[in-house]
Amino acid sequence: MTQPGKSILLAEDDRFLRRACETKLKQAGFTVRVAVDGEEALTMAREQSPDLLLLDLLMPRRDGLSVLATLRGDPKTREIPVVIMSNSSKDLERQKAASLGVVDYWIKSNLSLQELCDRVSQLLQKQE
Amino acid sequence: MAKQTDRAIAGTVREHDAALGGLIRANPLAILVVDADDCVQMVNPAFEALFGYRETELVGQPIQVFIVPDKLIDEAAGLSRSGFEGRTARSITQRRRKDGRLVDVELTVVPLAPLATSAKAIGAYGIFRDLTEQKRAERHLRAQYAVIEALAHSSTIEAAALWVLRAVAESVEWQVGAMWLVDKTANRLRCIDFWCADGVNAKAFERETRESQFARGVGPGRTWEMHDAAWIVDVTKEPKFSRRESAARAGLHAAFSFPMLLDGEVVGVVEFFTSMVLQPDPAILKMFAALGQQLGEFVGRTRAQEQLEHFFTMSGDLLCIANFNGYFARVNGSWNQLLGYTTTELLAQPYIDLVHYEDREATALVEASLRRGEPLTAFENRFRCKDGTYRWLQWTATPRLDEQLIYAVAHDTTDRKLLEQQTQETLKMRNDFVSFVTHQLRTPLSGIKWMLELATETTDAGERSSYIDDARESADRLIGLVNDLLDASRLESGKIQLALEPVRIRELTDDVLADVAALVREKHHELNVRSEPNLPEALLDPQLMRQVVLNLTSNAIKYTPHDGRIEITIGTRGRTLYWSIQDSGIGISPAAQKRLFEKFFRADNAHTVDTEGTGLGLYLVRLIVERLGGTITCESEEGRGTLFHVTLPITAGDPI
Repeated sequence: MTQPGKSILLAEDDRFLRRACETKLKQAGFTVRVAVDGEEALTMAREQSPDLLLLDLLMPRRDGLSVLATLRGDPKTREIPVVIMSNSSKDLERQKAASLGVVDYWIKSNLSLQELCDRVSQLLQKQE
Repeated sequence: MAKQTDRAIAGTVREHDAALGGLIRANPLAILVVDADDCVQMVNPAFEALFGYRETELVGQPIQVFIVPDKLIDEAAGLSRSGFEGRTARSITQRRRKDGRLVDVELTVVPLAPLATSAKAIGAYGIFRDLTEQKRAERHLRAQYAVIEALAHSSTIEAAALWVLRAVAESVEWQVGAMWLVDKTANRLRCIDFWCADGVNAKAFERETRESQFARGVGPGRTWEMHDAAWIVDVTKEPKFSRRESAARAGLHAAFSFPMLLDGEVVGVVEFFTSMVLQPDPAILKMFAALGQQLGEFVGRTRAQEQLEHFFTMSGDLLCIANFNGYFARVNGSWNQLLGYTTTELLAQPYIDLVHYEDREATALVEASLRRGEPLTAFENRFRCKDGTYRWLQWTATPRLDEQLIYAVAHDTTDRKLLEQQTQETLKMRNDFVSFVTHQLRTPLSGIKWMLELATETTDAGERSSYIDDARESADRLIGLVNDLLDASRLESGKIQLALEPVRIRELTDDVLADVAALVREKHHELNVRSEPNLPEALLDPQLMRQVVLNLTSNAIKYTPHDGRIEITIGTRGRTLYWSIQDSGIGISPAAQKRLFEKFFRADNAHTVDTEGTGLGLYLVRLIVERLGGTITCESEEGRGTLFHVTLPITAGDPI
């Protein structure tokens, strides 16, 4: 199921959620790096070109949609697969994210860590 | 021989006379024979019938005394003279019947000469042709025409009354007329106008007539009651005629009146008076039955018109008639009341100039379709008032292509529009609230759920307890949010109970600072408190006050970048306590400052620092301060820092 060595960048400002996700994904064998705000997410995505970016929307310094738009505007980062992980279910945000080309849009509170982990695995498997 | 001849001639004359007499008597024309002294020799039966006299009453009497009206004495004398001088004369004139009525006649006077050789006539024939019917038809037509003209030029019966009375009275040669209308409220007839021929002194009669009101069945009210014309031969001898004394002084005698009928209902009465004593004249009565109908219908029409006019004038809606060329032709008073322009101002400019510029294009489009003949419903645009504000108008309009006019009704919907906007804003706020709270609740819930999931899976006791600690902390955060929402709700509804007690504000502040000391250290802020010595105790709710101080202090710490300066100042001014906190933080934009104390409001730059804020903190602070009878204000400059200034009464909070 898992693809050891696949690199995931997790951008999440809430320290509890960040810790939980990071722990679970690492247990599953992924290489996980974390960003605590939007600026950090942008910098790390540029430097590391992860196999998957799990991107929160509401973050300090720079929100997720802005990070996404900036990545899409740069040829070097345009192809990074992005999944939005937010607890906001505003239609407007979903539409904006969809128009910027995201793989999926997940509501965190509706997922268990196991489900999250399974979905990530499936996505990365498809990419091969 | 001569004697015999004379006798023969005399015999011939007698025979001739006898034959002539027979012819005269059988003639359908009224014929009169007078001698040289104007005394009646004979009249024929047709004459008796026309003038109402018996021959025996007239023979030997001077005819002028009987049948010539006073005003025609000179004319009659002239005609007689022509006859006696041997000339035939003809005249269209009038003569008087025995009953006093005047008869229109064509009178031919023929000289009576017994011998062809005789130079001087010994008498004259008067041959009368009765022109009554012809004259009556003429007068009838003239009166009809005059009445039609009067009504055509008048918009109300009041305006037409004098013309109508005059036209009718002159056509029948009566001297006085009065018009009465039924006043439905008073259930009385009221005189609306009075006409009197020149040369008749009816001042007192006019005054009495104008001042009188009659109930049904009394005076002209009899016509009202009977729905039919009435005739009085001589009002001065009629005990039931209340105005008889003044009528007698004016020399009035015969009277008739007829009802003005509208759909069988009497709406008014017209009465006429003449200086003669006259028997009822069926021809006159018949003529005026038709006129009464005509006048009644006119009253009906003008009343309908008045009602419409009343609607137009009194309507609270804006009514107007507009030309196809883009100008108002008529507007009612509501336009002035709503927009503040005078009617002249409204008619003087193309109305599109008054339409809000954003609505002009749409207005021009509906105008175009109206000009094509399509009616308009439920169109809305804004009109500028004289004071520069705008009102929303909702339009219904119908074009008349033949008149090139638009008939339109507009309704002021400004209040509804505002309400709609407010409702939309409220809805948007509620949506914002729901999605915001959803997000804020989901995040700690996700934290609890995931930490528990990790705790369940791990076999390491140390890890497990760490996960559970995090789950508990997330739960605490969730509880804090729920409590804030609850506090806000209680403060909003005024349900929260104040527990007032003397509070030392400096000590309360120091307690809060001890709780946040770790955060201050973490960000390397320099935090100072300056307070007046011997601060008085203030009567406050310490729990709520602590919430205010903690909230403002936490904000200052949070929204000030590392190595910032925070200064708290506490003092008194009279019976007022002030507590203020100045930071060197990111500041608040002027736009955000205006909304800072609103529920759920968060400044844009606040999100860049912290995404966990609920937008409830400052809202709660304001509610608490206000509840304690104080005020809170904010001064800030973006990038430079923020000052919050709280004042509180020292003596007492909100009395409970």
